[in-house]
Parts: sequence; C-alpha cells; structure tokens
Amino acid sequence: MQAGQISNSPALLSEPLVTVRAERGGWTLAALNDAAAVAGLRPGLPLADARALCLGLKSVEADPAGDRRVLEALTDSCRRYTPWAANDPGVDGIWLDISGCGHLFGGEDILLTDLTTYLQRLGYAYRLGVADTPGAAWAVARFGGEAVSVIPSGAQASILAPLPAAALRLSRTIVEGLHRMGLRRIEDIIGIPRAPLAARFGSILLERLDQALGTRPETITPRRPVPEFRARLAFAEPISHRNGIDAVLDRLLKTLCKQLADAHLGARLVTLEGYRTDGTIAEVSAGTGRPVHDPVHLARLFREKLETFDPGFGIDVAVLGAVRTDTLPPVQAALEKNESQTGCDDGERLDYLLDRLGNRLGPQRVIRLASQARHVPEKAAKAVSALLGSPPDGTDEGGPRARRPLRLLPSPEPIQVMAPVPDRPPVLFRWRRRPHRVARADGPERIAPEWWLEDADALFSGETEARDYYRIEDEAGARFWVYREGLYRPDRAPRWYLHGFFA
Amino acid sequence: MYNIVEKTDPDGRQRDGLTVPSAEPSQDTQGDLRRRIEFLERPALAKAAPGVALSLGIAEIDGALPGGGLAPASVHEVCGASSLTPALGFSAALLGRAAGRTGTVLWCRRSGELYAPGLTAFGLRPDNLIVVQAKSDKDILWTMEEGLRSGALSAVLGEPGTISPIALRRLQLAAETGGTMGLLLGLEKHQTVSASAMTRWRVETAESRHPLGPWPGVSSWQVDLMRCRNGARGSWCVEWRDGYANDNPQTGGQDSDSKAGHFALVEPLRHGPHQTPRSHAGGADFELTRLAV
Repeated sequence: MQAGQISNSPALLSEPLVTVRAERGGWTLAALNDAAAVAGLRPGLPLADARALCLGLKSVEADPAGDRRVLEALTDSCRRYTPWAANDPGVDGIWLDISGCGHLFGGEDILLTDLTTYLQRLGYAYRLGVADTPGAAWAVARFGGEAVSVIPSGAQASILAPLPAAALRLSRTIVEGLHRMGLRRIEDIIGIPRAPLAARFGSILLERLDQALGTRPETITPRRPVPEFRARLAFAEPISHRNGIDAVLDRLLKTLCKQLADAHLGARLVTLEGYRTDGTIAEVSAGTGRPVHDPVHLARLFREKLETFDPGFGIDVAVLGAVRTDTLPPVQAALEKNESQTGCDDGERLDYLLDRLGNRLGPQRVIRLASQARHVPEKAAKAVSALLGSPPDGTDEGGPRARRPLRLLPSPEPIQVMAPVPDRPPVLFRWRRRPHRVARADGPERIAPEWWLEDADALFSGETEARDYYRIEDEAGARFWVYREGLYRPDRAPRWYLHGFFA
Repeated sequence: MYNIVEKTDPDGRQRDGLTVPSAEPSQDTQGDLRRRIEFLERPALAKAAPGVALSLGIAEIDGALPGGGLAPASVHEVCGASSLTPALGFSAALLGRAAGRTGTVLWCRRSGELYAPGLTAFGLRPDNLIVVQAKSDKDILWTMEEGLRSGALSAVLGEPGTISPIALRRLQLAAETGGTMGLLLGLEKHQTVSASAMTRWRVETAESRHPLGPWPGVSSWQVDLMRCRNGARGSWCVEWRDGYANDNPQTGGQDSDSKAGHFALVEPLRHGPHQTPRSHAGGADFELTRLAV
C-alpha cells in the first residue's frame, strides 16, 4: 500500500506565493510555497498579517474545484501503475494498491523509482509512503520525514510508534483531546487499555489504530471500475506513431484474448488507455454485439476508432482492459477451413459487420424495425438496436390486417381537404400548397385511441380522438394515407392530416 | 475466321493456340464468347462462384436481363423520376426478393421514415432487414461498401443523395469482392450517368387497379430499364401483389403460398376502367355505385 502527498504548485517559483480563500470575512492563506514557508507564513494566517510578515507577497485565489480536477486527473494517470487507484477523500492524496504490481516493473523499489521520476517530470513535489496497510502508508507519507518511506512488511507497529497521534487520520478534536491526556505519540495510545479510550473518543480512534496496524481490514474503492482482465505494456521510449500503436494494440489484444479464452469469456466492451508522458490519458473503446475473444476482429474494430486516439507527445504505457465480459464457451475448431480466409460462418460475419457499423456510426444508428401490437399507427413500429444479440421475432402476429404505408411521416402534416360530409373520402386535398385530385379512395378505417393504455384524462377531455384513415390515390397515381381526426361534428370544421405514403 | 482460345476451356479440355471454330456459330459458342468477354472485363466476378441472378419472377423482364435476372455481385441503380416513393417501393420489393427466406439485407438512409408494418408487405421483416440511419452521405457510402465487401448480406440498398463515378466504381468493386448485390436509390436528377452500374431502372408510379371497384389496388409502377449491360432496354408496367389476399380475392389462392408477395406484369393503364368518383355531393348515389359493383 502506498500513499503519496502532493502539492499542486510546482516548486518553480522562488518568490513567496500563497493561495488565499475568503474566510470569516477576510482572506486567509490556504496554501503556500517553500519560499513563503521560509518567510514564516503558515496556512490559516490572515492575508493582512502575512503581508506584514513578508513584503512583496504574491497571492492568488484558491481554486478547490480546480485542485480536485487536477488531483483526479493525476489519480487516473497513476493507473499506469495499478488499476486500483483512488482519491484520498478530503485531503490531497492518492491511494495506489500496488499489491502484486511490483513484478511488472522488476521489483517494488524499481516501481517507486519509476513513480518518483514520473512525478518529478510532471513537476510535482511528492511524499510517498509504502506499507502493508493504507493507514500506515498514510502516516509515514505525511509524518515519516522522508520523501519516500517504505515500511518493511509486518513492521508497521515499530515504525509507527514514535509518530504523532495525528498520523492516525484523526479529526482535530480527537487529537486535541489526546494531547490533553498526554497521549502525544502512537506508542502512548497502543500501551493503554482500549475500553476507556473507546468510551472517551468513540470507536473511530481504535478503528484507525487497528487499520494502521493491520489488525482490522480496510478497503479502498477505486476511482474507476477495475476491469477483471487487462493487459499492460510499457515502453522504454514514448510512442506516438500510428504504426507503433497498431503493433502495440495487436500484442495487447493477443494477451487479453488469451486470458479471456482461458476463462471461457468473451469481451463485450474493451477499452484501450494510453498513458501520455504529460500525465494525461488517451482513451478509446470498442463494443461488440456478442462476446468475442478473437484478436483479429477486435483489432479491426479498434482500427476504425484509433483515428480519435490522440497520443499527444507520445504514450509510454498502454493498458487494454476488458471492461464488460460475457461467457463464451469454447467451440471446436472446424477441420476444414471455409473458402473465406476468416473461416467463419455467415451469422458470425454478420455479427462482425454489425459490430463494425455500430462502432463507427453509433449503436443507436444500426437498427431493426419491429412491429408491435398497437393500434395507433405511429406506435405500431419501434426501432430496436441490431446489436442486441438475437433479432426480434419476424412474425407479425400482432400486426395490422390492413395494408400499411411504406413511409410514415414522423408527425402527421395538416392538409386542406374538400370532402363530402359526414365521412366520405376526400375529393381534393392540398398538401404543401400543391393540390391533388383524388382518383380512387378506400376507407374509412377507424382507429380509436387505445383507452386501456392512454391517460384517461386526455381521452375524456377529447385530446386524443379516433381517426378515420383513408387510402387514396391521386390522378397521377401517387398513393397517400390520410386521416380525419375525430368524428364528424356539424359545429366544427374537420381536421385532416397526411400521415404516410404507399409505394 | 480464327478464334483465340484461353488455355482452359469452360468444358475443361486443354487446347492451345488457334483453333478453327465449327462452321455454324452455335448458341454454345456465343455463350462461350460472352463468358470470355465477361472474364476479360471483370476477372474478379468470373472467378467468384457464379451466384444466382435475382429473378424478378416475370419472364418478360427476366428475359431482357443477361443471366435471367439482376446480376449478383454488382451494383444496380434505381431512380425515381419525380418522386422517390415509387422507386422506394420497387427497390423494397427487390430487396425483399433478395432477402428470400434466409438472407439478411441492409438498408442505409438518412431519414427514418420507413414504417415496419408497411415493409412486411415487401417481405422485409425485423429478422432479415437491418436499417442504418446514417448522418451523412459519406457514412452511407462507407456503410454500403462495408456491407457489400463483408459477404454476410444478400443485398445492400443505399440512398446517397449524389454519388460520384469514383464512389460508384468503389461500390462495384466492393460488390464483386463480397459477391453481394448493391442497389443505389435516388432521384433521377441527382444520379450521375456512369457506366459502372450494371443496370439502371427508372420507376414512376402508375395508376393502380382494383378488381372490384374504384378503390386503390396494390402498388403498381411504370418501370423502365434505361440501361442494361449486355441486355436490352425495356419498359413495363408491374404490380406488386402483396400478401393482403382479402384485397385481391382473384389472386388470393396463389398469394397464400408466398406471403411476401410477388411481381406481376400488367397492361399499362392510361385511363382506368372505372370512372373516378368525382362528385358525391349526396351520399346516396355513392351508395348506389358501391352496391352496383
């Protein structure tokens, strides 16, 4: 376990610089740089006092939201070391669970060297602590006195003993209470009976103590979900060329697909993360309609999306993770290859095609048009994504028994109609300022509102009315689907709409 | 007269150099030559397994097309003269026939006006039709090319507003690679006249007929075959007899076996046999007309 404390102002400015925040009706110091600390300033000091102590002090307003964003971005970029990265809530810290990650770098100390050079290059001051428990790492990072402090495995009790009580991640009131009792160091607290401590300070004190010493477990929730399967590749030199990225992707896919195949799983969503040298991340994802562990197919899906993958000044770590997976039992490979070089059947080829279309155009744009058993024409059709596994049933059991138009307008367009009352088909109608003389007509087909589904109020107030549909053909032979809304009433001019076109 | 022959004949015999052809050019020799020219023109197509041409089911039209139907593995243009809707219906019918019982077809267009209950009349159901709603013409062309090349589909229909000859040529090559039929749909004024497409159809709406009375019947179109490589031009009036048998009791019996419907050739109808119901000021005479039928 390891915790690092960062200061987000690069120690580049040699002049005293402070950030200030509005507090209790005045400006107080929020954070300061080394030069300001040497001048005797401390956080929490009013700005007026600080100006008196230090002439020519520069101040800028603190930006906690901006700090938060930078810290989160840094946390994400630290996922190059481990997927298990989290923000330390409340304070400027990052948790990294590096259990089992050391061997990727050739040892924990090499990982630490890599991390320190990385942070230095980004211009951050840092304090790192490594320990068996998050609590112990937190304590040595902030109170250990060295930039990098490593607690050997199992030695947290002896190393933590001389540290102040505040190193246990306690609130200010508890620390002050402990001070009043003369308990200044952690060893003082370890030595005394537990029950009175719990009674006086609450269970949090003992919980923090136990967590630091490792007698009570503590879980860290990672900032972003950790993919179960991932493949990682680090480079000696940053790469930015497309050919290099393609080659890296191929190697990562091979590793990942091997893992997935061994686990009898297939990927549904794969994410490629490129950790840029400047601490930002380039990210691109590819989704599939059905679980896949074929590196060739996944590579093809990524090829089309890599255009949006901007390596910036170069990426030095690439991680490929299977974010969503599904079971994919192994199948017996065919002895004879098909004529096509991929050797897959038609259904598989169709799925692959749909994956590619969906990834490039967006899954909501690749659809199947299904009918549903509804009376209202615009609700009788619905689009379902074609990427969802099995196609909907082709039978139209609930479909209409009468002929329906090939094209349906998204919303019916009003038309001016000359029609004999009460319910004769139109003789002449005008649509988009062009008159059409009706040569043939068929109807009406009355479609009543679906009272069992609709809002009863809308029905009884007359907002939704029955429609009389007519199939009509004009003298040129164009066929339309028009309707009159509502039943004929002598006191009201009938409203007519054009709804669709027959081929 | 001498004839240059390839090393391997279609019938498999090894022959070299020049041969003297038989005295009278038989039907076989003509077909042989035609195949050879085809091979020279489009080697990829000739190498691929000779797919079955998509028959329209009308002897007159199929006879005008080389191979007895729309050539597979090539691109065909369908254009509407003034309105797109008739061309839309005709190509939907072609697409439905191409999908057949087991195939899958792809339709790429910009707007989403296609209506699922109406598509079933053309044999296009959610299990055999995939619709791509593209954002741009570029996406449509890309999708068509991918679909044609993949070989997973029976046919691909696209409606790119305008298309350049180069893009059309690309589609044709993709169709040959994947062995898939491509249909290009558009208005006549937008389409380029290019030699790449195998055929070019012009579809206009025609007055429909109903066997019983002055009502709109099944979809009918005036279809002109404007250009056809290795074939003849032609002009026909066709109907799409869909599965709504109650609409058409005379053909109800033969419709029942193929629910998807079929093409039928009809006599061009300039002025319908039924007088159009012009004025029905009173309801009574309309009732009479209706009863008299």
